Amino acid sequence: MFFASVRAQFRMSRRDIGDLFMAISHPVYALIFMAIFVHVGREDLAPYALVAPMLMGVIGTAAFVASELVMRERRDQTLEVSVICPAPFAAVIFSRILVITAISMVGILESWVIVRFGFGIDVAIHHPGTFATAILLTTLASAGTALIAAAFFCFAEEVRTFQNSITFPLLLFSGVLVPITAFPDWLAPVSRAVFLYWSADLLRASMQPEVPQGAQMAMAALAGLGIGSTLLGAALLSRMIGYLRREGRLGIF
Amino acid sequence: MNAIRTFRFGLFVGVRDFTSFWGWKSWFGGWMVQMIAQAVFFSLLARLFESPDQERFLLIGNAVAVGAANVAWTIQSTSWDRWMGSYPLLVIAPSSLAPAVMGRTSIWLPAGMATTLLTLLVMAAVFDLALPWPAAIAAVPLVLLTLLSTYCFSLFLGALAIRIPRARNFIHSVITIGTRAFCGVSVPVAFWPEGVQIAVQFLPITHGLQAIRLLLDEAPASQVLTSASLELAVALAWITLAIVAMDRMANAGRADGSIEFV
Repeated sequence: MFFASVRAQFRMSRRDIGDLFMAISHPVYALIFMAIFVHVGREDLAPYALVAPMLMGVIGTAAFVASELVMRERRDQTLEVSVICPAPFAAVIFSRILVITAISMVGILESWVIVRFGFGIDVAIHHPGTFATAILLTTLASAGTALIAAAFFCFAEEVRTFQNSITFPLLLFSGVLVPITAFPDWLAPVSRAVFLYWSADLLRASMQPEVPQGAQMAMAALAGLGIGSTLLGAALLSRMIGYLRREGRLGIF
Repeated sequence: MNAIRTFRFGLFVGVRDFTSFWGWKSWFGGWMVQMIAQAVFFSLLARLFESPDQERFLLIGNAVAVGAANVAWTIQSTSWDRWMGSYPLLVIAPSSLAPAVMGRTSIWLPAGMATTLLTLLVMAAVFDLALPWPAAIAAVPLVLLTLLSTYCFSLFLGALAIRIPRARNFIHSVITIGTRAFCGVSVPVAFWPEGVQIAVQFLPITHGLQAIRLLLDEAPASQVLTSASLELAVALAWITLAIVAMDRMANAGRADGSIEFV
């Protein structure tokens, strides 16, 4: 079931790269961030210029697929068929979201190319293990978060208006680019509850020569948020589908 | 007279476009929250290297940039008629295509204007962005001018997008990221290689934003007016090109029979 969903989504995305639009366009912001850092003579901040645009693309893509995948099923009247299949619907949707979020990770490569060839700054990955783990766990956490959002977007058409309203507040308060010390203290626990905070931390640490401090803790937090959000998302989505079935609104919205 | 009537009906459709996206609640609670968060996100990175000057530079630049990105929706909305099947009717109508399209798309100008001004006000309040009162009031017409020239340029790009409607989001992204990078929003124009510096003289935002910065930094009025005049010249050049391109694109589509196909 997993591989069938993955294969189907892969084919759909290949035909319509609109799904990946944000994942492709946002990493270009590396150009802007790096220009600012070079302008003020702080080339050492280059890891920020790599990680922030990539995570902008990741969260933008997650919000987009969360709102689009289920809505497309409803619009094409295929949701009814998917729901009566013996395979759990949440698992099928999760596998499909996973494909798109996994592809959005490529953004970091794009940012790297911009920084390398646009500014001649070579950012080395000093800790490939930490880097790879961070990418894997970020994929999971971002897919899980998208699953939760997908459940909410099912609820009402109006909720989708907010589809694009949540990404920048999340990016802002999770320390992806702006240090969280810039915000009031009471926001710190909120920042730590967002997976982006840990992803950004781990990815940047993997580009520093020093051995990353507290990497295990960050990985554990990221894994916890990833698994937690996936389980919560699956439960919410199943409930939401149950609700839509009872109300007879699967194909009507 | 006919053109004005056509423009008015176009604007009526534009208002419907706007309200199909937002009501009051979702505009303030959704759109504005996102735009302010975006401008702050791009500006507070100055806290990484603790430079208040750079922070001020970024706050002003990004407040203008978020409004300009909204005005640039003109690029997309120019080709919406193609999806609705109303485009061939507009093309065969005896009136020119330009006033109809300008009417429908001009709604994004006041929308962008409100976005920028509100973002500036919030930043002034939250981040102690020092504004020289009452001279800062003069920033309002300067923002209008800057966004107007962004509109003219977007209309020209929109005219091109009529022929290749699938590229509309791509064009919008290139323009919003490009202006943020090169037109003096994030770093001074002088940072870039000479070729880029020359090219951006012909783009919107470059001179208008410069005029706004000069005004807010209490530079002599003559300098502000010079930059503002250059922005006006850029706006006039692009609107002329846009109007010429609009009917040419429509005629080209009529010649090869593609106006009904997307």
